[in-house]
Amino acid sequence: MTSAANVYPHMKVHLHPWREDFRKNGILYLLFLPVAVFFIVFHYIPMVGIFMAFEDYSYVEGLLGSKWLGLQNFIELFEGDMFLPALRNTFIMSLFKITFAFIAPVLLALVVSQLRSKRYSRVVQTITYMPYFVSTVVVCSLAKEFLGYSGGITRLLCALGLEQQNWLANNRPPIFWVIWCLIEIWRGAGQGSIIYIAAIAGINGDLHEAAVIDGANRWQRVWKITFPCILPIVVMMFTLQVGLAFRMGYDSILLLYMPSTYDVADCLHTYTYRMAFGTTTNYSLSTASGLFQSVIATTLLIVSNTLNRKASSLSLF
Amino acid sequence: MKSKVKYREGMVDKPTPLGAAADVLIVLFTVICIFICVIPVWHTFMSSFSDGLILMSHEGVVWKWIGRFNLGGYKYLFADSSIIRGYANTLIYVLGNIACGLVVNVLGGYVLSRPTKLKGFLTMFLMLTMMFSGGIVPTYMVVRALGMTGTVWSLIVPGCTNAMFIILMMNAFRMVPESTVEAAHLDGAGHITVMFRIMLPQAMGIGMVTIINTAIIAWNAWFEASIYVTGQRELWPLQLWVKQIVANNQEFLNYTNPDYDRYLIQYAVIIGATMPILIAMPFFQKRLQKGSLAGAIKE
Amino acid sequence: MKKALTLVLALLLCLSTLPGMASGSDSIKLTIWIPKGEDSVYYSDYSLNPAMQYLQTLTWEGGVKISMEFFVPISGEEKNSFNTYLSTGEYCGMMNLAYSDYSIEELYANGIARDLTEYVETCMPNYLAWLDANPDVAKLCQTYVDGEWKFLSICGCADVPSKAFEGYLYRRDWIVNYGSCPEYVWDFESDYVIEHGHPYYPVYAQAESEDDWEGWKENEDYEDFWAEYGDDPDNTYVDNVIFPSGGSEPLYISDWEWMLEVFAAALEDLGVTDGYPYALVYNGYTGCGDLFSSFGGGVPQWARNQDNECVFGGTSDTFRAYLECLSTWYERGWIEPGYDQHSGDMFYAVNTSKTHLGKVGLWQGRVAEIGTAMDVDTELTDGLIAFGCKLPINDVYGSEEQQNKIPDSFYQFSKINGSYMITNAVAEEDLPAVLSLLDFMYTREGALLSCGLNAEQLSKIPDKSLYERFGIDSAYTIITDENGESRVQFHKALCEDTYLRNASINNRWLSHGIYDTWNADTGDSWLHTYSVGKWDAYENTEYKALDVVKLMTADESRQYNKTLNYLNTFYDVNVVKFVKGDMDITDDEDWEKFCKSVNKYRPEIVTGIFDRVFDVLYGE
Repeated sequence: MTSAANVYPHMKVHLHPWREDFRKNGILYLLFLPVAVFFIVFHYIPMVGIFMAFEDYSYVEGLLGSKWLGLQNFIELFEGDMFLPALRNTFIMSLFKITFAFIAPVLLALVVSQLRSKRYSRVVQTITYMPYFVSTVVVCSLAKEFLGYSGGITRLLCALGLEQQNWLANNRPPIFWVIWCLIEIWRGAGQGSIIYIAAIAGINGDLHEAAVIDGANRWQRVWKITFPCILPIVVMMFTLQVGLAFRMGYDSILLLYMPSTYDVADCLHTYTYRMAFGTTTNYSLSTASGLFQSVIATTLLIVSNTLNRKASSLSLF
Repeated sequence: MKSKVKYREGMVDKPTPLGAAADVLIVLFTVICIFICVIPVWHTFMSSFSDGLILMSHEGVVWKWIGRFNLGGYKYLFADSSIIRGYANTLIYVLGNIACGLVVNVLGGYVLSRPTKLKGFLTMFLMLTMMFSGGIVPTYMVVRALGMTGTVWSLIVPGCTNAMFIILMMNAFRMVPESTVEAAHLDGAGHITVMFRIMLPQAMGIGMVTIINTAIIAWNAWFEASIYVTGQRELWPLQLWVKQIVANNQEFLNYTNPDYDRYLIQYAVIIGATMPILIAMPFFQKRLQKGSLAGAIKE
Repeated sequence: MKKALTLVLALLLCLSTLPGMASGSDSIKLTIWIPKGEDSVYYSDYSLNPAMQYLQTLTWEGGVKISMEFFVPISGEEKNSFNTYLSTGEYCGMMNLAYSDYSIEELYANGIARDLTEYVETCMPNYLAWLDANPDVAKLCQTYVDGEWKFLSICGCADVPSKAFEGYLYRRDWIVNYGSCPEYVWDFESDYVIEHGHPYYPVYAQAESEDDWEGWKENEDYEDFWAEYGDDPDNTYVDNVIFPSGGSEPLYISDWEWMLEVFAAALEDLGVTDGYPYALVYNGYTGCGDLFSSFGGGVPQWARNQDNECVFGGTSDTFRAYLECLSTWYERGWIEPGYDQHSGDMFYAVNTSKTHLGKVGLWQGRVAEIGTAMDVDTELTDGLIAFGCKLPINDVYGSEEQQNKIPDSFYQFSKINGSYMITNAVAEEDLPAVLSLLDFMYTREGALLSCGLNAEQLSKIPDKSLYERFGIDSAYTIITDENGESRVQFHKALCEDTYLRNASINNRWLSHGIYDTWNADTGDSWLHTYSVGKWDAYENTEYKALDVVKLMTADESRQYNKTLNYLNTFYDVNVVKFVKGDMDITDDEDWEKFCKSVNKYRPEIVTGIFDRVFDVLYGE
């Protein structure tokens, strides 16, 4: 009962020859048709916009009329002084995100599942969800308030013997990344945890019953039953996060960083923002940057999916 | 059945000192979490009742309203009926998105959860839409070509789901024991019956997660509306009004005789726009737990 | 089949809702895109604005009425909205160009903007008369295409630019309470000053210690500072402050230094440890010049000088003198130590909560902070009176070239208040009617709509509810002041609430005006008028080059943006090093290193681009 693959044996894909597959699953493919149409219409057709990345796009002249630049947008992007630091910081921060910020909601869900009062557990869920609603601007201004020279957290850290300073202005390596990661956790842990809470709630009660009869204690049941049961979801979310972490969640940095912390805080998002949204807007450049990030994210996604398949036989595709 | 529930919830341990200590630790941990998460919301809440001028100069967290208790921010927020209209519209969009999204999610999730040869390809087909996007204008062109711009459909159909939700549903369906599905098929149930009547109730836990997320995305959405229904103010969702009201009042310091209550609007709108959905959350969550329970019992 | 049918239906629906111009027999529809509307508290649609309602009751060239429909984007999405309209072909008949990324030439070349030249000459006599009377801006209202000047857009113009709404404010009450009256002030007429220039504040101390008063004269008004409120604190704050330059207001950098010293003493006396005399913006300079231009003129980036040449100020001696001043002030503790850490703050990046707490002596403020506005009965803000002051004249830092020059670059409104294109969504045969409507805005009656409706006009509009709700019978009255000049005096209700005033008048669409509409009496206190007057005291003669960026070709604009973005990042990171002393501004080697790095980004290419554009615009 320890391996999730045993619990869900059907997850192994049975390989049929193509013809047999179509005979057997033709109706399934037909059912998928509306979904495919939805995604083709609202996602794939608009993807022609990606060509903007290779043009000097002008709204007036349209996608077909704009001047073709080839890779010039990418070259402009890559040759900036700050590009390499920004790329490095993005990698590091997404690494923080897929480790710490990924584990936090799982932990929270496990803790919440151990609460004895269901009513209280709903209260905890609702309240930990709250920060997700607070706008980025408010979150960042509060962060500044707390971490500023005389902020609450700064005072706390001073009491622990650290030097009094504006922590957000500190540009020594891990500090900004840790702060940003903590803010991300704080904003997203409650929201991220509901999926695991749902998965835990869906675990077949018989498993726990049997384990209790076998004399398993609470700790053992968490690690031997609850965790393996939600593992497929965890692995799936992880695979998704590897791709998404590289692209999303950097809006707050625009509000948190400052010239003195560009070294550690500048990421592709902020770098592109400065490059493309100056006096006039360069949509081509921001599309090029987006495309570049998408390609990296997709590569990461495929790599992590492959690794997962090799390591745990759990994979998305 | 009752005992089953008890086992599931881990309440069968004999009371031991260690267990009690663990409980205390767990509760303590969650209390700290609650505290940390409540602060910003409380800060916003109390700020919205403060005196604008004094609040501007306040440093640190607002534990209690500052200056006199003041509803000025809310006065501006509800100065006309537009925000009420916005609530009604948003409710329509939320429900529409949920209904539309659920159909697509279940269809997609069901097909992907079946062991077919194209499964990997189809998953990748969906995943790529999360990674690459063509931007606003091409999407707008498509929505316009479908005749949706300027109608409620533009705010219900295009954004009702995304690849992530379908993949979540796929996973939820995978967790339903194969025996249940086979039994249903043997009874002569078709695919549609199986996915909606047999599997969905059992996968309702995760299904609820996608519903909650769809609801929240639809609740917070304003950008689509700002493009698709710019001119049709009667269709504006709540968040668009919120954005407009905040923007209208941002430059009050550029005017002589400023009314500092306008400074409070930015706080009042956060409260006004998130309280309803926060209040609704526990009901959702109750469903989230009950839904999956129902599935477990059916077996 | 069904789907195809739906698609066809949808397309039909789409076509029928295309905004633009629907011609009728006696009434035509004009769709107008403006970047900003009014608070929805007053009305839901800008066409319900009383002034707009009035315009729609009038009859235009050819005996037609024009019904106006306004399209207003969501705040913050102006550019998206403008671009979406353009790219989908759904543009309005008349569009404000403030958020256009494209030059009017490009819009014309792509068949969107109409060539109005012919019609302007026949249908817009008042507009042409105005342009003739204002040759300094006339050229900016036209476009040079294919070897001739054409009217491709219509500009909103005013005889006098709008007044400033922000500028330097200082705590006059601290000067009164903590400053000591200088016994000697400058003697501008003395031989010494004529020969050596002004003695300045550090010399005051020196002169005092050495008792050498060459170039100074005794202050005849010498007595302790005092000030008092009258019956009405807004109107009668009386004081007798004398600055070292001998006047009642700070004029020179040395006055500012004397003032900052007073503020430092005040903060020390009050026991404030987290306050500071001067609030500096986070990147250390503003792109418009401001204090920067006090040190010899110009802006840190590109500007047009009076000879219509482009000047790059990023490595100029002005910049060096400015930084020398800032680093000196920083060293003396007059600047907030963490000034560079406000990059993401609201408003314009000075620490607003500190100024409102009364912990700052001198800051870039806005009209809402003038006078006693920030006095909220806390210990530090008690008695706070903020006075506006002029930008100072440098008499301390840099070489002679950098000294005694009138500041010449700062944000100032121009006579042109927005320009509009007429697109091909307006039918050719409707142009005379539309342009006669626009021309009406250049008559006195049309211009006065920028002050609202009078009683007679009010009686003609269908929906009077806005005026009636606030008991306004007429938005203004015209009075003649003691100099015999006529001016507009607003209704009391409109003086009290600026939001209401803006909603009651034509404020968002072609709101240009003849002189007395701009000179309107809005019931401001004398201190308000005084302070705004100080901010507008000098004229901006080095024009920040921004306004002509739209005249660049696509390639040029691309090059400009790239260089500007690199430079901004570079300055943001490096200027602070000079201010905080990590690099020594007085050390030639450090400065040369800085200039070398700046030149690496090839600013001269952009200078060349601007010169080309200026040549077209202003060349003979």
